[in-house]
Order: sequence, then structure tokens, then C-alpha cells
Amino acid sequence: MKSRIQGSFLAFILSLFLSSVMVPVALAAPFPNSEGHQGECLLCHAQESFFAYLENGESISLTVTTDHTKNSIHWDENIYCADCHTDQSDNPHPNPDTTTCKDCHPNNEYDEEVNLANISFKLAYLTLRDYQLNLNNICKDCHQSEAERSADSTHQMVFDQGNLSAPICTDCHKSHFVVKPNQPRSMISEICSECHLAVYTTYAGSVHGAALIGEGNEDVPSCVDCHGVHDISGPYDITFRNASVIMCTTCHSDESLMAPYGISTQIIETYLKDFHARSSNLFILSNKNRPKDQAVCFDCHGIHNILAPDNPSSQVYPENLLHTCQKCHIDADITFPRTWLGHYVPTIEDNPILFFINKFYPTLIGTVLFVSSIYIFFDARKRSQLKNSIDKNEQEGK
Amino acid sequence: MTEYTVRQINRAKALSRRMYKLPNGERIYLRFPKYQRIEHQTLILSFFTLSFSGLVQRYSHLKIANYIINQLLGGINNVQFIHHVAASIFIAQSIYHFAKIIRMLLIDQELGYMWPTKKDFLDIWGIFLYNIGKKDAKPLFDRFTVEEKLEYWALIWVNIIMIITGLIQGFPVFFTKFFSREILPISKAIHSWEAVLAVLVVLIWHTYHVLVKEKNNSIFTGYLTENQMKENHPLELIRILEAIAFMKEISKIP
Repeated sequence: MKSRIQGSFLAFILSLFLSSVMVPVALAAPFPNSEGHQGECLLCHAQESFFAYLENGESISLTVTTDHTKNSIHWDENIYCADCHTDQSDNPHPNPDTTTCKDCHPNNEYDEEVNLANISFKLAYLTLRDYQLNLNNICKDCHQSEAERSADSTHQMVFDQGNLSAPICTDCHKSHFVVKPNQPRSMISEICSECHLAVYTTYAGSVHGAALIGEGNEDVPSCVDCHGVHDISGPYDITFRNASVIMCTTCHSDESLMAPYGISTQIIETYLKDFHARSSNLFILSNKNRPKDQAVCFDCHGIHNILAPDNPSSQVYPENLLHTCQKCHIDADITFPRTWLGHYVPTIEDNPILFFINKFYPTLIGTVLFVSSIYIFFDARKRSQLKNSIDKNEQEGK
Repeated sequence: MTEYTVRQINRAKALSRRMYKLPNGERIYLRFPKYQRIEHQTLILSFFTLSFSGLVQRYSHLKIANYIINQLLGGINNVQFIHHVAASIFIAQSIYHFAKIIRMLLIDQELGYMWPTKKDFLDIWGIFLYNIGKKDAKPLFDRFTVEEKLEYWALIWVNIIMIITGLIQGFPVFFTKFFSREILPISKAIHSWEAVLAVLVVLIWHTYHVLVKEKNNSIFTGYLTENQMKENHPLELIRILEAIAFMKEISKIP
């Protein structure tokens, strides 16, 4: 027992010694280049109360959380601090203002433990956003296709219009604690919620959102499944509206995906044959830039607030359906929604008349074709027989 | 001396005027007066346009239909516009036709020759027996053969059904005020199926009888030759000849 206490005491002394020595040692040597260094930066940057001042007087924390950084996906891929912070790869850093170091260390001698909290460093950027935007450019060196797609996004468009708060890579993916955004999948929606909180709240109450956020069910769509990942398009343009049916059908026509929830995949086929859709091909191949005047899925079912049709709050719940129809069919009467079958193939129990019509007509058409073919066959045969005999008589007459 | 009513004389006059003598001495008989020819030509136009613009919608999942809709006609909205214009013409001429029938029945006090009779049922069986060789003579027809009557009444049936179901689909909000319970999907199903039936009947039955078995272009020229009359409408030919004889007879009356 005694020896164990002695051991831990020794370890404590040793760690005190090491911590007091290691920081000056690290500072004394120039930073290794990106291949060499594996987080020596953290010797300083893990310290709390480590600040720099921007040109506008704002202070920013230079502290990097070690746990986050070492658990980030970049760390696993051997990508370290200086790979992104290329301008800070030398020690002392050429930028920020190195004179603040040289004031006290004119010979670059860092041989004592330094309490960084007492020193005011300066960063040569006007604002924090300037600094973030500058660093953000480095992402595309590795993530070229993502950067290209982002350049077409509605976020970039808003940014180009002068809104500097429009999200850049690091706003969604974070700078140091970079992880796969879909693990768990609900994280995607949480990332979006940082800006789109109202939509997120609505989504979280929807049938999709409740399943993803509440139950951790990964079968349901998160934000990016409909809106895209990097090339996020604006939801108000025609292309988005026209493409929306395909977004819904991609999952809702997938038998294996729908089967566990008892959702019929026929709803898509029947919808596409319906007035509103006119037909699947028309939807897919019609002039992509022309607005559709007919209802698409979300016009009836809702967008972020989509609910299961048997939920009394759903826009397509029988009691609410008239109100939903009236969005377009302003004069629609109470009987109007009842004349619609929903997305279901007519059955003999629920829709006997329609069921009968769909059986009757093929039979009628078949019968008519069969009888008239027989009639025409014998009529044509008799005519050719008569013609032959007349020709024969004429020849004999000659 | 027999006394004739004005009506009898007028009818005979009209009938006797159906025969024309061509300069080469050949006799031709008026089958369709000009207004009927125009009516039929309008029908060709509206029926063809309706079938075409309707069937491409019914079969829009096929590549060819999709090509027609999107490439040739510039999108579904144009196709529907064409369909609705043709439908308006179709409805207008249907109203005209029904008005003509009512006028014939009420004002002219005539029945016409299109009504189905007991003879028609015997005739169609008779033709079939004749065609399969069980009978030596073909039934004799008046102004309309049983085949023509069948097609006419089929078209009347299709006409009524298509207009009703078409209007329901065109004005769903209005019609659902009066009818509930699946009226829209029922109308759509019937409209769609009936279209196929109508097009097939016209393609097969009508094409066979006016183009294949004989070239009967009286709907364009208006006239039939004497041989055609003897072959297909002998009873009408007799009536015309009788009327001519009758007119000659009464012209002798001072």
C-alpha cells in the first residue's frame, strides 16, 4: 500500500516537472513541417485563457480543445494543424505580430515556462469572420468536388450577395472537431438547425423528424436528402418544385424501405397516374424550367411538417383534407375531397364501381374486337370468293 | 283520281331530286347533302384531334407519347389546351346534331332511317349467314345498312359518355357539388377506357366498311353510283325511282 502511494506521488512530481519543461522546450525549437509535427502545437494551444486580439479589438480564443482535435477525422488521416494553418507553421509564428514575442525574447530564446494568458497576441485580421473566410479557402485543396458543388449552392449565392454570415465549410463541418456529419445521421439536421432553427423545430415534429431525432431511425430523410448536400438549391425555384416528386418517390417507391412501415409503394404509381401528376414521364421529362400548376406531394402532405396521413393533425387527414384541397380548388365543396381515392388501387370492397369499370371495359373492348374481327373476316372472305367467281365467269365468257 | 297531300308531294319531290344524270348518261345518287358532309369533316377533325391528344396522355408513360407531348407539342399544357379546344368543337357539333334530330322529329314529323328496327337484328344475322354461305341472298338495305346503324349508335353512345365524363373532369369543383363518391376517378376511368374503345371501333369497323371492302368516298363527293346503290341501298334506290315516277305522273296532272 505504501509503495503504491509513493509511486503515484512520484508520478505527480514527474508530471509537474515534465509540464514545466515541455512547453519551453517545444517553444524553443522551430515548428516541424507538416510531415513532422503531430500536435506539438497543442502544447501551447491546449492552454486555457490563450487569446489574441483582432484589429477591430475583438479577442478570440486561441485555445484548441485537445479531445476534439485528436478525435477529429483529420487527425485520423494524419492531417495536422499546420496542414490547414499553413501560415502558422513556423515558430514563432510569422503572423500574427511576432514583435509581441520578440519584445521579451529578442534572441528567440524561450527557456522558461510562459503563461500565455498574460500576453496579448495580435492577429492581422479585421474580424473573426475575415480570419475564418481566409482559412476556409484551404479546404478545397483536398475537397475539390465538394467545394465546386458548394460554389453552386444557394448558400454561396447568398454569400455572393454580400451576406458574410452565409455558411462556409467550417460553419457546418467545424474547424477542429471535424467528424463525419452523418454519424449519427441526426447530426445533419442538428447542424442545419444552428441557422434554420424554426424549420428544424417543425421538422423535429414531423413523421420524418420524430423518427430520426426521437427514435434514431436512420430510414427517414434528414435535411440533405431533399435539399442536397453541398449543392443545396433554393427551395423556392421551379427546378426544386419539379424535382420534388422524384425526391419523395426515391424512397417511397422502394419496396424494402417501405415494407417495415406498411406504406404502400403503389401510392407513387397511383399518384403518377392521377390528374395531379398526369404521368411520371411528363414529370420527369417536361420542360424543367416551367412551373407545374398541378399539386406535387408536398402541396398536400406538407413540407417540413409532414405527418402520417392517419395523424389527426395531418393536412391529408380526412377532416383537414377539404381545407388542403381549397388551397387550389378555392370553391371546393365538402364532397370534393371524398371523390378522390387517395393513392390506392381501387378494390372491390372500397371502390366497387371503379373496380367493376376497370374489369368491365377490357372485357367489353376484347369482346367488341373479337366479334367484329370474326364478322369482318367472313365478310372479306365472302367478297373475295364472289370476286373470284366473277373473274372466272368473265374468263369463261371470253 | 287519287288525291295527294302536300306532304307526300314534298317528300317525293325531295327524294326525286336525289338522282342526277351525268353528261355521259351515268346516273348518280345524292347520299350526303353538303351540310352533312361538312358535319362529318368537322367530326373527322375533332375526333382525330381528341383521340390523338387524349391517347398520348393516356399512354404518356411510353417514350413515343412522351416525345409527342414534350418535343412536338411543347408540353402537357399545350396538349390539354388542344384537347379542350377540340372537345368544345365536338360538344358544339353534338348539340347541333341533336338539334337536327329534334327538328326532324318535331317539325318535319319524320322518323328518319337511323332508328334501330327489328329488321336490323334479322339483317345482321342474315349477312352473317350469307357470308358463311348458309344463305344465297344478302338482306336488302334501305338508306342505312345495319353495319352503318351499329356504328352510328356506337358513336352516339360514346359521344354522350365522353362528353359527360369529360365535363366532370374539366369542372371537378362544380360537379362534385352534386355528385359525391368517386365521381372523378370513375369519370376518368370511363373516359380513358371508352376512348380506346371508340378509336378501335373507328379504326377497325369504319375503316373496313368504307375503305377496305369498297372505296366509298360519298362522304366527300356526296354521291354514290347506281351500282353502289343497287349493292348497298337497294330499298332506297327503289324509293327514289318510285318518287321520280310519281313526280312524272303528277306533272301530267293539269
